[in-house]
This record gives sequence, C-alpha cells and structure tokens, in this order.
Amino acid sequence: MMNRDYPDHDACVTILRENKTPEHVIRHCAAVADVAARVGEELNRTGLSLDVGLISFAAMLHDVARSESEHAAAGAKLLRDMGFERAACIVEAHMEHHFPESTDDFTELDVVCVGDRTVKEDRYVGFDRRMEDVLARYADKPEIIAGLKSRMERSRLMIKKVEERIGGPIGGLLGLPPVSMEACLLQVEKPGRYVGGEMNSVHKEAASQELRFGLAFPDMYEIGMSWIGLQILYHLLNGMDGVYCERIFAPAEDFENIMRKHGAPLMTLETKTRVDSLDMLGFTLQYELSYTNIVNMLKFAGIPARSAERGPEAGAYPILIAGGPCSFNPEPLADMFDLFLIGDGEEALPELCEMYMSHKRAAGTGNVDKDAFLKAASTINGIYVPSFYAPIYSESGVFSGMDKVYDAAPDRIVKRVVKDLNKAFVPEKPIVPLIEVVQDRVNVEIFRGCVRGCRFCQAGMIYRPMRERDQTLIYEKAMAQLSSTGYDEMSLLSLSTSDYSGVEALAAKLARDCGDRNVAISIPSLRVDSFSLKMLEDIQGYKKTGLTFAPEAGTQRMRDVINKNITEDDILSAVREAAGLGWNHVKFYFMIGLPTETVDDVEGIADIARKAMREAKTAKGGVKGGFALTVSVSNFVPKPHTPFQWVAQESQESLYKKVLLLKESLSKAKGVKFQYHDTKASHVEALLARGDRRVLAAIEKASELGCGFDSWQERFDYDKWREAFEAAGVSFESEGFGPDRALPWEHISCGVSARYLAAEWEKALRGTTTKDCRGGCVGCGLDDCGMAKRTEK
Amino acid sequence: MKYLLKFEKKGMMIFISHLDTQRLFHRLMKRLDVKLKYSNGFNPHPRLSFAQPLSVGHSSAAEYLEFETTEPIKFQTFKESFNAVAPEGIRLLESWSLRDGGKAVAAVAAAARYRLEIPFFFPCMEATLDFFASEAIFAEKRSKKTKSVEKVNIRPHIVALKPLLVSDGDVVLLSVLHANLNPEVMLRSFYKFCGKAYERESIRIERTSVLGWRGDELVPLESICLE
Repeated sequence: MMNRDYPDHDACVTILRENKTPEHVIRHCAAVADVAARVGEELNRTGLSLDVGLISFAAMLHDVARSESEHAAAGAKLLRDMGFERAACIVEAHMEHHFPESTDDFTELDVVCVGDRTVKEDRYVGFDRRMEDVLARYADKPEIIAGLKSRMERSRLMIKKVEERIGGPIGGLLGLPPVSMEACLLQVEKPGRYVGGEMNSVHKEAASQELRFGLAFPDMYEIGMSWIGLQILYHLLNGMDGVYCERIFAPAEDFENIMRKHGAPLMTLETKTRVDSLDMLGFTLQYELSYTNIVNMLKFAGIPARSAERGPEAGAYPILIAGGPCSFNPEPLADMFDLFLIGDGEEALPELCEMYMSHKRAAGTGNVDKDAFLKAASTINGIYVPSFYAPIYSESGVFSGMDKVYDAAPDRIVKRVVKDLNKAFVPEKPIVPLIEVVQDRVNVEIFRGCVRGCRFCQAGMIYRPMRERDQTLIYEKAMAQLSSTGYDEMSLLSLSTSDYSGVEALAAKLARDCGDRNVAISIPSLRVDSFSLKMLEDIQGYKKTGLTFAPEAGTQRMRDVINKNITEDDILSAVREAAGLGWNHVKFYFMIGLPTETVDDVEGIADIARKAMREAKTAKGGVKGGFALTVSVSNFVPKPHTPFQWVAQESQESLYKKVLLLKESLSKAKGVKFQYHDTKASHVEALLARGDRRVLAAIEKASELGCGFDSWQERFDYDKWREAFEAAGVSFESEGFGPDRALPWEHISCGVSARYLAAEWEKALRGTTTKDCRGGCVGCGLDDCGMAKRTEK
Repeated sequence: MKYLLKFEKKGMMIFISHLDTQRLFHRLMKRLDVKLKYSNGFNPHPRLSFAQPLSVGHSSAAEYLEFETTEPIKFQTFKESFNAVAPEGIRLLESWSLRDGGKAVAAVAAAARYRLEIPFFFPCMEATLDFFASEAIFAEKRSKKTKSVEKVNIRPHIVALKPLLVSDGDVVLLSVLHANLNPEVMLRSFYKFCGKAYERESIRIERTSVLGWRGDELVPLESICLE
C-alpha cells in the first residue's frame, strides 16, 4: 500500500484554526491523534500494515467541524474538498462506527476510533472512564443508555483485543499503564491501606453520578481514618443524590514509587479513579506539618499546585477546596486552593455541592466556567475564594493588608457555625477499617466548642460557642454505630469531656449497656478533678487504661498566664486519688516556651513531677514498684485567632536548652519518664501556622527537596526546610507581630473579636485569669452564642 | 455451642493480614449479633480461631474458622446475612455445628493444598518433576526462636507437586504442603533450582483446601471435624 505524505501536526493545527475549531477541541484532536498513531504503530508490529500517517492526519482533523450540527459529515466534506478522500471517509464514519470482529480486519478508521473512545478531552483516560462520561450525559434517558450499553460492549471487547494483540494496555504506550493493582500491592508494606472495600464504605454506580467528590486527607490511611470529620463528611455527601464521595490518602513512599514507576497516578480508594478526573477535590487541613503532603499528592495526581495554573475551565482539573482548623489562616495555601470552607462543614459543603451541580447542569456538555462558579460560591457564608483578594506588601516587604480584586466578595469571611448540634448530621454506619488505625473505635461527639478559654489553645477559640448534643441523641447514635460496626470500643469526643452537663448520667448509662455487650468505653480529654476520676473508675473498673492529665505549665504563675485555671493542689490530689483507686500509670502534658516563661517555670515542671510521685507513693501506702509517671513536654506554637497570636515563638535553641534542663533535672527522679517534642519541627510548624501567601513557595520548595510526612519524626528534615525557606526568600525566623501590624488572617473571622484577644493578652501579661463563660459572659465577641441563655437556665 | 465456618478470601481481601482478618471476623460476628463466648480472666477475648494462618497476598478458596457462642446461631439466615455485610472478597461457603470436646481445628490442620500460578519461563514441566524427585531440598528459613537464618530440608514437607500447563503457556503447580511449610519458601527454592530470579509479584498463590490426617491419608478438614 502506498503511503502518501499528509500535513504534519503544525499544518493540521493551522487547518483547524482556519476552520475556527475551538482550542479545547484542537487539544482533544491532538491527544486522539497521539494515542491512535501509537496504537497503529504497535499493531503494525504485530503484522498489520496500517498507514500511520493517515491515522494521525484523520485523527487530527476528525472533529474539525465539531461546532456544526452534523460534524462528521461536515468535516468529511471539508477534507474531500481539500483532496483527502481516505481521511474524509474516516471522519465521515467516526461517530457511528462499529468495530469488526477481529483485529486482523482493523483499518485506519478502527484505530482512529480506538483513540477517540479512550481520550476524554485532551487526556487518555481509557475506554471505561470515557464511556462513564458518555453515559452520564444520558443519565435521565434510560432508553438511550440501554442502546448505548449494548454497543459499548462490542467496543470494549475489541479494545481489549487490541490490547491483547499489542501485548499490554494502551495506557502503557503513553507511559501510564493502569497496572495490575495486585502486583503493586504485593510489593509494599501494609497493602491493606490501599484496598478499600471496608464495611460501611459506600459504593455507587460512578458513571451516573453528577458530582464526583474526592475527600482527601494529607497523611496515611491509618491517620486519616481516625479523624471523625471524615466519617461525617463522607456519609453526609454520599447521602446526597447525584454525589459520589470517595476517599484519598497520602500514599506511603514505597507505594508511591511503585505506582510512579508504572506511570500510574494518585487514585481514589473506592473505585481507583484518577484523582485529576474528579469534579471536586477537598483536603482537610488538620495540622500544618501535612502541607508538603498536599503538594506531593497534587504532583502525583498530575494537578498543578497553583490555582492560577489550572486554567479558567472547571473540568480540566477538579475544583480544589480545603477546610479544617488550619484554614483559619488559609494564606500559606491561598494560591493553591480555589476556595476554603471556614468553620463547620455540615451545612456549607452540601450547599457548595448543590451549587456546583446546578452550574454543571447549566453548562450542559461543556465545561463549568470556574470564575462564574467561584463568584457564586463566594456568596455562601463561610466560603473564602482567595483569588478574589490580593495581598499588599509594604516597600520593606511587610504584609499590610488585603485588596479586593472582585468587589462583590465579602470584606471578611465569617466562619460557618452549625447552631444546633442536634440537627447536625451524625453517621450511623461509620466505615470500619480493615487494618488497625490509630483511633479504631466508635466515636461520638458530645459537644463542640469549649468554654474554658485557655489562651494558647486555638481549638478553644475557633470552635466557639460550646454546643452540646442531646444525651438521648448521643446514646442512640452510639448504639446505632455499635450495631452497624461490631466495634468493641467506644469513645466520647469533645475538647473537655467533664464540661458536658450530663456527663455522669450519660457515662453511667453507656457503661451499663456497653458492659453487657462486651464494649469498652474510653473518655479522653478529662480535667484533673476527683469527679472525673470517680466516673472513670465506675466505667473502667479493674480494666484501667493509662490516665492522662494536662496541667500544661509547672507553676501557678505560668498557669495563670495561660488561663488554665487549675491549681497545684488540683493536680496533686488528682494523682493521689488516682493512685489510691489503683491506677499505676499517669501521664502529664506540659508546654515549654510559653510567653513570659522563666527558668523557674521550667523547673516547676520537674518540681511538680517529683511531688506527684511522692503523693502517689503515699497513696499506695509505700507499696513498691507500683507507680510510673510520664512527663511529656511539647513546645508552645503561637497560633492565629488566640490571645498569643502576636508573639514570636521562642528560638529552638532556647527551647532545646529548656528541654536539656528538664531532662537533667528529671533524670534523678525515680519512676519518672521524660518525653519531649522535637523543637525543630515545632519551629517549622510555627512558621507555617502564621505565614502569609509567600510561604507557599517555601512549602513547594521543601516538597521538591524531598520533605513529606513532616509530622512523622523520622521523616522530618530541618535542614531541608531551612534550605527551602532560604531558596524561596522567606524568613526562617519566627517573628512577633506588633499591635499595629496587619495579620495575614485578619480577613477571616472565627467570631471572637480582636479586641477580646488583645484584652486577654493584656491580662495574660498581668497574670490575671478569665473565668469560663458559663459563669457569665466574658465578652469574647461572638453574637448569639446561646451561652447567655444557658447561664440563665 | 461450637461452630465451624468455611469461607473464601479473594480479591483485594488477600491483602488483609491474619490478625486483621481475626479482628474483622470478631466485628462481623458482633454486627450479626452472634453472642460470642468470651474467655475468662482479666482481659476477656472472644473464642474465635482459624485453622491455619494465611499469608498476606495469598488467596484462599477454603478458610476455616471455629468459634463458640453462648446462644445458638440462626443457621437458616446466617449465611445470607453474613454475606450481605462481609466485605467483597470474603464469602461464607458453609457452616456447621461442632460437637463439644472435639479437637481444635488448628490442631487438626496438618497440610494444605495450593494452586500456584507462575508465568511461563522455561520448560517448566520437566524442571518440576526433577525438583520434586530431589532427595533433599534446602531452603533458608528464619528461625522463630533465634531469629537467625537456617538451612532446612523442606523436601519431607512437600507431599505432592504436580505441574499443569494452562492456556497462554502459564504454568500451574498443584501442591500439597505440610502446614509448617509456606508455599513461598518452596517457590523460592524452586526458582533457585531453575536458576531464575524469584519475582513474587508475578506469582498467584491460592490455598484450595486445608487437610487433616485420617489414618495415613490427608482429607479435607471438615470431614474430620464433623466426624
């Protein structure tokens, strides 16, 4: 067969442009031509003699007339007029084509169709994924779907036969074979992380869903599955018609390497769908040291990390969203995400999804206009669209405020609050992981928010006001979860469990019914008081787990500065009582590097540990070998939206000196075990927590240098972080903010007023405490918080 | 009351370890409202045990689980409700009542039959016969006690080994191995014997049955336990 010369790629593009073919269609044609040509070459290796030049040319021009109604016929006429008869026949037939029964009979037309049936827009996605989209278009017309499906069966079979003939998947020719997952999993640690299919995980027919949502946790499966928010949002979204929410976790290095080696991208856990083909991708920001994992996951998914690089059309890439506590200072990741959801997600996230679906419906077969969608989204309370705001820097490079780029965007974004926790969604069938995860039990949230007002604590500020869930509801949900999961352990969650008004009655009721079912109850976040101990004793009986208290600071002066509101006597009598009731192990949490801290305050930690040991021994009546105390010390990190948001973090050298001092001082105390947090990791955490938009360059650089899983001590690399900050031109020193300086998170409001925070800071310096707000409103600035009413009751 | 279950473990579930599978069954039973009997003592745990552990990555057409309850289970609906809630890949095949006082299944399990699917790489048929005909086959095994690597003769633990040629030139080895011999240990030796590099990811391993001794004959586990 004589092969003639056809116009090359560039010449084809010129032809397409002359005929006013839209740019996205041109990109589609180029991708189809690439796939078809490679398949043609491979088939020729197996004995066929196809004209690859013709394949490329016909594929490049197959949609030249796509803007017209009968685009195949119109395109064919155009080519015919130009004198390309064979190509014209291909274009003419490409829409209605049926594959022959044997690959032996494959012609150039068949190969072009293989390309066209496996490329979505400008990317190879494989036949199944491509057909899912076709089917989705006719979701409401079952009569059409039935016909399509029977035709697809033939095509699917023939594409499979092509793959058999060329000895591997078509994706493999492009360097991205959808490799056998099994073969990859046989080579990695803990393969159970990647299999999905757990009890109560949700499986929907993906093809007929309007919105494919990826819920991403930027750490390993075991960590992400321990987060209660994941269970809530996952089941909440999957309860919506037309939405399929799947989970995505950060792959461990070994799995990522092996997948990359085979050219496979980041995939969802449920259906192993490429993450870049989803409609929306939502990351939770639970801790700052997970940021490099986000950069890495996006890279692995083939999604540009900066929103500006993802183009104006939604559909080319997912809409990237983020939420969680760290989004109260979204700025370090502002150039990455299309939008942030500030505050509680139970109401705002479904609203956002509904809005996206209506935009998608309006766009028909075309792509959603991202800008129009984001403008609409910014009207939802609690949604922050960072591209509508531009930071202003002074000549010396100091952040000095925000300029609005889109006038209708709100001046301040006030967090979303679910007012009534009794109406908020609680899953009854949480997913039960197949491998052991960190928090492997039924978890029921009993209240949200906290009344204490500890001045270092971000959670205590941003989750205000305190909202309790009804006892009956908690009980019902807990029992429903136990029945649907088969768990033998249950936990009540909140920021300070003993502050729940009916905690004793609730615990007693649960303890009784759980005992009968061989279910153990754990109650974390208890305060140091005898009431809590009695309750624990009643629940756990002889099965005593370790006991953890958080005095946070070693001297009364220091505890008053941070507004902890407990005395040394509270701490010591709690230890005495615990030892007397039979506990043999107590753990204390302390912080160092708190504002105004002196050497005396640090020594106070060792002092209180020694006193606690003495109390325990006395309580145990001098019985030997009975009691162990762990002193765990972490480094204070100033966080946005707290009274300490303005202060610089203590230098890590100085923190380390304090660690050594304590280590030395406690080395002589028998029975006391000393643990401390890496001061270097805390340093980076502080820089990320209060950074502005320029910090993203440092995060990206760190990821590029190999940083990832920074919260895993063995993976944290301080020198690389320093190098990254220096390369990005961002200061690696923790700086204080003067009272007049603009804060990068000022346009985000958690409801607590700046005036209140400043007043609390003044009181901290004077060592004056603030009572918990159940005793009367402390004026934190929150409107309509419901606490005042509670107080009256 | 004592029961014996026979189930299969396939698909993605082959990546769930022995311990995790144990936890899964414990939860499944609780979820199905089966009143498991707990051990006495300070840390009660349910009486639930498998005939023979299955390595991660191996599938199985016949796994056995034995457990005790304080109330009888509802046989009519048990299989259906079990399979409705079990993750895809775990499927209950049969369940039986066991008489009291019988031997524990783990004690009965003496050997297992495996189907080993290996990719074509050479005239494997003869090699298998030669390998099986060897008087002694030495394999490296890590000693549980001393943690050191020891050379042991595994030949006495290979009861049967038969090669089959299937379509596309792939080879299937049907083998019967004593319970103390992991098929992977034998396969490593076999690859070495053939002078080939061992590639775990290209091999499929499936346990097709668990066997116990009746006299000097190896028979399926249930036929002994139900005697």
